[in-house]
Amino acid sequence: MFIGYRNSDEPTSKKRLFHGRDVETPKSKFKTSVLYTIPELYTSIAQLDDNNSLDEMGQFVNEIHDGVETVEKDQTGVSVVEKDQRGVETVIDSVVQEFDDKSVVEKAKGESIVEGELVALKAKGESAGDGKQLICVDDFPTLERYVAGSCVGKVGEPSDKGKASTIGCLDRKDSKLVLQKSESLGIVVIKEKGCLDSQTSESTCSNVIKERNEVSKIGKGRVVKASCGRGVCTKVHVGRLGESGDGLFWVVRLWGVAHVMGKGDLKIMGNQIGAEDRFSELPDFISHHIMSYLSTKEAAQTCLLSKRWNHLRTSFPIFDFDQIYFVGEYLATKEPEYFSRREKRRFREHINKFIQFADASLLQFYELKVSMQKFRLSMTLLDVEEDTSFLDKWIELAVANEVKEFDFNVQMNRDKIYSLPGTILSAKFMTTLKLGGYNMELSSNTVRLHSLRKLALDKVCVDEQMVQKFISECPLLEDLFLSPSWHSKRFCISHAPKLLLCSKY
Amino acid sequence: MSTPSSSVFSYRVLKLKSSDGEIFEVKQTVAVQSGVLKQMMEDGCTEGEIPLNNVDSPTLAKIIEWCNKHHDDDVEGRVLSQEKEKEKEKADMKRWESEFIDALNRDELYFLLIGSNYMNIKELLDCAAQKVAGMVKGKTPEAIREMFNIQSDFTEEEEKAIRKENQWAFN
Repeated sequence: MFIGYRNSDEPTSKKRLFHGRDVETPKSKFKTSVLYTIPELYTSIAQLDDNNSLDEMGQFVNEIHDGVETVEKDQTGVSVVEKDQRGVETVIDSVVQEFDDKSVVEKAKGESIVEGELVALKAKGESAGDGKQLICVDDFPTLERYVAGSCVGKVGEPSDKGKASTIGCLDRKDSKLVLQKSESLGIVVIKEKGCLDSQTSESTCSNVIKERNEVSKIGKGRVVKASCGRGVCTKVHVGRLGESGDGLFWVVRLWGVAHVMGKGDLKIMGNQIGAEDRFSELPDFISHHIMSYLSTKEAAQTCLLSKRWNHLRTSFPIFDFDQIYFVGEYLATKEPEYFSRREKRRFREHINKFIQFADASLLQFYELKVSMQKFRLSMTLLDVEEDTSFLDKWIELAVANEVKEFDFNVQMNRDKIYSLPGTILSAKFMTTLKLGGYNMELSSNTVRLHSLRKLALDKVCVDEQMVQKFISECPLLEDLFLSPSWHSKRFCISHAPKLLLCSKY
Repeated sequence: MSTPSSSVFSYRVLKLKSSDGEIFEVKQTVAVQSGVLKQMMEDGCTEGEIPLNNVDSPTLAKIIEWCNKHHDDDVEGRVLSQEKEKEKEKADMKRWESEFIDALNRDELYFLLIGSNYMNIKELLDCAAQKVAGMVKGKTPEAIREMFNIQSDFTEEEEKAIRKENQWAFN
């Protein structure tokens, strides 16, 4: 059975391979001699009949593995896989005849290939009742395109015997690449020699797939499912086979055929087939936990990775809105009173973008109906007449999302007082409340912060009554910080069973 | 970490069964670090094999290694009178933790995240999450994609729009 060939970018080598002869193609579902781009190739694979064309697909995919941007499907390849119509033996014969040329050298099992040889590699009696098995490879210059880990072709049906055998060496210099047949895989793979020892031993290779429809164990026992593109295939299992030298090798199951591939191949195959991408599969909670160790900017940047990550970003329950990211450090730290007119204009321009961004993010998050871990806001409002209703809205959104840590620092213009909405005192899940900034006042009849443990009021106008209310209504309060506002008085604190730390600046 | 009845626990072992069927025996005083196992012990349902369907044997072995290490230093009852000694102990543990986590390859790290989350071992989950965050830190989105084999499924326009929306983060 003919088990493989490769196209080449150079038309000349292709000519050599087929000796200029035309081959009659039996009824084939493939178009012949058409240049496919990879997306087109996938489309045509998708159009094939699912039941009968697994092998053909496998053959097709082999070509993608090569990393050829455009793949020319030629007739020999088709005749190889036409076993449904013509039977395996017949096909073999016809192909052998194609190579019936003096320049073709026959190789027995284990023989290495010498540079420049056009090789028909014969591994007699190797398997599965076929009698003879033939691996045809191109001459050596084009052999360089056999990447380690690529799949040459199909040997036979997968069997449970599970023995992998090395049947040839491909590299002319140091025999780096080894042609290996794995019965259980049902394919011939080209692997790097180093890859065959220890970790990715032959037995590991043979253990990869035990059943046709199930990838059971790969390498050290890892199997993952990967999603794949629409209409191309429904099930792809990707697993790591072994690590060697410069890369990883993966076993990918595609249309009933297992493929051992290098990392580069997976990349070419792209997300249509589902390259290994474990970290995107982590549950949201864990991904968010990871993101919580990143800076605000770094966490935000992850939105660009993929749609999955963009979603993770949208649902990330930690909000850190700081004007510094929008207006820059200089303007964010300068006293607004000393702004030049130009600076004022620039500041206003940027702060508007900031407000828009925060507003959109919060609304988007609200839609998800999940709880918010943290809300932090740090900004300056320049104008007296500035509309502050958006602040009320944000507070309401945060409270509606059961915010736990609330850190609100808004610098107001001297002439205006902002009254914090009463909603903030009814946040049942809030454990930390930090309020800071001049000209803010807080007063309400009811305090329902039953989970509050930490309270910091920095320069916020509160009266003694209010502080007393906090202390009596927040039974879990452990840490209280107060700093004087312009009409601060002396406070008397009593009945605070859990209060450990009380500081007054 | 210890519960009132931990002295009773120490004489007993739990049989943990990994997803691939391997049995691990773990002292109760060690297992108590797992929130899930602790709860089970308190509920008194730790008889027989405890199946951990989300944790395979290599991962479970790692998790137990972690718990053993942290147990030794936690509950052994050593009295560290000297402040200095305590500090040293802490630094040693930190070093051991980073060596432990750095020795893992990406797959192992992934399964450890899943496993420690499933078994509710907060410190280990934190440590592993921090490690991944450290790998991401300071890298461009392109480099992160490369590192984790993430395939961008955005069209060019979508990517442009997202970049524009979040421009502040890319400055």
